[in-house]
Amino acid sequence: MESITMIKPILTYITFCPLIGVLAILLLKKESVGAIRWTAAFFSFVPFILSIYLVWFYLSSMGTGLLFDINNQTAGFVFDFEKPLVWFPQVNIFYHMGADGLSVPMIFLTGLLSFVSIFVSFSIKDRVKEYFAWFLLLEVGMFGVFSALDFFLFYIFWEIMLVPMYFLIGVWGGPRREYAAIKFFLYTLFGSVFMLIGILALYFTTGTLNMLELIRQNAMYSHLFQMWVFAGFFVAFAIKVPVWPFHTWLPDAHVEAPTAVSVILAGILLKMGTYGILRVSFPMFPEATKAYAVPIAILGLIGIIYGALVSMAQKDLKKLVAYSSVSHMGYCMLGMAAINTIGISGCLFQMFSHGVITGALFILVGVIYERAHTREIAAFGGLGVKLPVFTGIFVLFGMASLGLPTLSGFVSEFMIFVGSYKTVFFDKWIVILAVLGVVLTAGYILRMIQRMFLGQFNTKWEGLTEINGREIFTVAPLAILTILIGVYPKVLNVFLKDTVDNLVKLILG
Amino acid sequence: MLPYSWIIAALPLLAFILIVFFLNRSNKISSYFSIAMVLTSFVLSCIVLVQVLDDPAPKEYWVDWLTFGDYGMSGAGQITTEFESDESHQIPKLHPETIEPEYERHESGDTLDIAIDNNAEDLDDITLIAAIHHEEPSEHDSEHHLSFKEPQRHGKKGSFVIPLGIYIDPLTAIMLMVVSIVAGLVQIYSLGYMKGDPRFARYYAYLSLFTFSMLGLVLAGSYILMFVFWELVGLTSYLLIGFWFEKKIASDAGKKAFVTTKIGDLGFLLGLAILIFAVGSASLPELDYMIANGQISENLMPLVAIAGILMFCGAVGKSAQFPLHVWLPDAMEGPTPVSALIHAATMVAAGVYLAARMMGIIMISETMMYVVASIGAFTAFLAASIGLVQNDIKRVLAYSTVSQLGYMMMALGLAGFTAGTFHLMTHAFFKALLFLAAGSVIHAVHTNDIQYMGGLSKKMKITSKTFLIASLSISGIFPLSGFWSKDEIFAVAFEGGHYPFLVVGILVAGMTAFYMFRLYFLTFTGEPRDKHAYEHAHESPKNMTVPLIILAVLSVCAGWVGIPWLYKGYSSFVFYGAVHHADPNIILMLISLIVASSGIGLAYVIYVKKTITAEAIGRAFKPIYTFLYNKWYFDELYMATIINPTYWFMEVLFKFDQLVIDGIVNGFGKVTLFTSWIHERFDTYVVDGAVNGAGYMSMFFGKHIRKIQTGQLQTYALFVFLGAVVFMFIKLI
Repeated sequence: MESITMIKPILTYITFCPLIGVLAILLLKKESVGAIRWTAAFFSFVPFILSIYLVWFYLSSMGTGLLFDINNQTAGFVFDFEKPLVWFPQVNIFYHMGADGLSVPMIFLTGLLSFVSIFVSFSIKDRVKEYFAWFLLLEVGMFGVFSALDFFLFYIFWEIMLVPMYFLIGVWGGPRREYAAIKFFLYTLFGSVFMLIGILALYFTTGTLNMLELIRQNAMYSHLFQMWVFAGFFVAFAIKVPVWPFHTWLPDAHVEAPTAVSVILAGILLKMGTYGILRVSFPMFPEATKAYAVPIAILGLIGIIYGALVSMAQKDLKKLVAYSSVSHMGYCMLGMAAINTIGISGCLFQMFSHGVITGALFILVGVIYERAHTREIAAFGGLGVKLPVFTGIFVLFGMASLGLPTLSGFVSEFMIFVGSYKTVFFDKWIVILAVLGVVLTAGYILRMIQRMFLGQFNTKWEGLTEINGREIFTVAPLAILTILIGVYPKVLNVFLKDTVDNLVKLILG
Repeated sequence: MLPYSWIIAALPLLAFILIVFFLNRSNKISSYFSIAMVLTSFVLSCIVLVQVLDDPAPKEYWVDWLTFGDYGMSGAGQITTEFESDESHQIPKLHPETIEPEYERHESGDTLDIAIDNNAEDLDDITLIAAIHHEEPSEHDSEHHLSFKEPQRHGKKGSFVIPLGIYIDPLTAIMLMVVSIVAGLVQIYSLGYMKGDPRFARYYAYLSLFTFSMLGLVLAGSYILMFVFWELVGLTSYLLIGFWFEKKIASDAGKKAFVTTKIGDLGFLLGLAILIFAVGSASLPELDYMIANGQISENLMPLVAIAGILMFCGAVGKSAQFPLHVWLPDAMEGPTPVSALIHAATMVAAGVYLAARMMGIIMISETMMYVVASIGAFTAFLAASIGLVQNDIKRVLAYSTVSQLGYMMMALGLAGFTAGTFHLMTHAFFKALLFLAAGSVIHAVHTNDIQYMGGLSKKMKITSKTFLIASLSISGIFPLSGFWSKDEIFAVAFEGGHYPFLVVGILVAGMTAFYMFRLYFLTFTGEPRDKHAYEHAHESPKNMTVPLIILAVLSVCAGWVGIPWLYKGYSSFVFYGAVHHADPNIILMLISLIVASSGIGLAYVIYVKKTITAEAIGRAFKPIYTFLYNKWYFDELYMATIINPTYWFMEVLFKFDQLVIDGIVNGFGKVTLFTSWIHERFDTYVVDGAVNGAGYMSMFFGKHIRKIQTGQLQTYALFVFLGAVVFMFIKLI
């Protein structure tokens, strides 16, 4: 197997750069808030730039034609090192980092959203030092999950994220922060147990923890084994996505978390669930994947409709956006269950664009919350008169969320519908019902926009100030990405296409 | 010019972007720039029209938008092409492929069996689309005698491509011109109408975006791109209908428009998915070609027809056809020039345009054609009946639009492609005129209610005259444009032998004439009923009246291009398949004229002569009047059956989410806590109790037994003695 190795171990650099940031911040004095903020900004900026380099490197490697070798089932990866570094030789654990078309866009998104979130976090006032230290540690975990190709490493990064997240919600969160933080932590940990069981089962069957190796050997897993281990992994990933009915930690965590953490939670952490399914479950257990396609699609369908309807019932703006995530991630599940190129590409598009759009929506919710100290939709009204720019940006992302063409949400929804209609794994009625979600989404987004921004101006908010430069700076890149992908989806598809082709070929054999 | 015709759409987009980001500080620059852009688009459209007139063969230009591998795709295989690089100008070879991996085999019925025998001769035949060729069709011509040019094919072997592109044929060219001229005039008119509005620059930004979306829709070469612009049109009309969003009623109307049309769009979206599933392509020319030449296998045809019906749902929503017509009258809350644009050239025209573009798909099944025609006819009647009794000048016009759109749909359903699109064009002019003139009236008297108007013709000479011209035109009076286009529709219905439709059409024509002249008489003639408003009334400024005059001229003349006796008229330019138009029928024309005149006469008798008063009629037919006045209670019906149940259901689901699902999660936590509590108790009292008990025991004994450890030898000796005594006793016993 020929593999493409980076000249420098970029993924390692990306992953551990924020860790240096953590150490640097710990050395700073608690009082020097400005220095801490800019240190954090710097140490999230560097991996962001490196992730752009990774994107470029990946693209240029694709140009060489070496990356996708037809005879190589797990082609499409660029690696940090020629060979996985030996870590614990006694138990066959390696330090193995690599990225392919699934993870490169995700690493880029992580870099971007983390960088943006650091700026969003500039409004955090107390215990700044700890906050940014935890935040950068969280970033390490996120990058790690998307780059690790050894199960041991993967699991470590997966678990590493929980701790900072727990503290970020539990210390800097809203009134019910402790409940939310514990719920998030325990719920995810509960899922992780199943993943650990799955990993151990694989390890005792094959004796390796190398994920690519495990994919390569997928023919030797018996049908029953596949069904059970797939289910175990699925519980872990489904909780993270979250797939209905494992979703109730999400609204609580989102509502209580500080703005930047909500951004990361919606933008990256949820994607780890779907990423995990596509990276682990689908290629390792092709038999089970096909067998479980119908339940996955149905869970996706329920998520779409249920999430949209429950969103419509929300009175709290942040909770509305949180439940809309349940609905939008439902589209991801539907798309991947199609197990064809359009469906899975649609799922990946949806992952990316949901990260961008919902991230931006959470930032905007934070902007208004910081000024008004309330998130109750009914408390606002007619803000369009007073805050035209903020309204304009909010409406833009609202429209992106409801899948308006020329914005990225449409491309992914369209691909998912076409893909899941073209599938052989489940019936058409699932798609027909899922399309209803489009109207429901339009319903709750428009209702929210109307009640917040249109109508008579509520004079109570005379004192509200317009969105400021820093805040515009944080949402501008997201707006550009949304429009860019919506108009010219090739920019994203070029990364995904061959990898998705490989993946589908692998599953369908 | 043709390859660059996307510029026509891009110019208003440029105006939008520049206004939003840079020009919005200055109202003047924003509006002038926007107008300049749309007028440039108009000039370019004229150039395109001239070029297309010169060479009417359709042109298409494509770019790849998305490419996928085609693994795991079911449905029809794709027809893909291998281009031979050195002979790219030659007609590409077609490779029908059924890409069906093994596991898909059980999926019955979806295999593709295409017999393509396109040798060069055949292709030469069908390339001559422009020429009117009546040669007997070869074996793969369908019953409709369609002939289409070989379209471009997309994609390579083993890949699935979604291309986007533009497609220019005579209909496109005509629509481009109509849209850009109406949009241009509306923008000029708005200079006066919107003067002093605090969001003036933004208004022009929205108008530009609206124009861009509609021009894009017209240029779109595939249903996917069409859907993209379709939604943008929906968005911009949402923004414009709710432009005065401080009024709740306006923002409600915008939302209603968006959501109602979105329901139709579901059908469109699903139809697209099915179309791509069944045919593997959504390109307009490719689909037409494949259908016309029987390249879609028999067993897939029903699926394509279903896709067609679903996509038609989109047209029903956008063109406000029954049962999704409820949003259009509410859309009157937007500024009046916006209404003119929505009703004439953009939003509602989009639906008819789509239906016209789908002609090939509609014509697959007789049933579907009947569905389309029936929906059109019923809507025409429904809206006309409501229009009879409304008092809001804009609402009457709105219902007349719905009714006229019904006509167009009916014509399309009766295979009258030429008639439907012709009426779309003439209607665009006179309806824009009607709305702009109504706007001029509203601008003068500051009310929409015709009960407070009257006698305005003395004060507003130009407005009243142009309104009269438009009313005559829409009523179908010879020789105004409405006469020719309406008659074309009647001729189609007559020739096809669809007499029920013909009767409905003529009946509705009479009703149209009646309510339009009711409107005219009540507004412009007689004594002013509101003295105050009358005194303040004045003719509108030049920038509003000039567009009126231009539109009046168009309302008179635009129909002349379609006079049936013309040697090369509209019907030999815009047609579907082969040139064909219904033969002119003088008797039919006379009947329609008589019906229209009697409608006008009746209005004259009631509202000018007052021989019979409207009140008396209203009283005599009280139930019918109330029924009509309340718009057949559609809003109430939808409220009770759809909207309120949805709201109820969402609340129930939220409760379910909180109580049941989250309840289970929390319950799980509680159970865990409870178990741990029991464990803790067990631990404290039993396990730890045992440990502590052992410790306690030793402590206890230690504490008490140490007392005998006195250190006195005498005491120890005593114990030894006592012990010895005890043992002795035991021994003895």
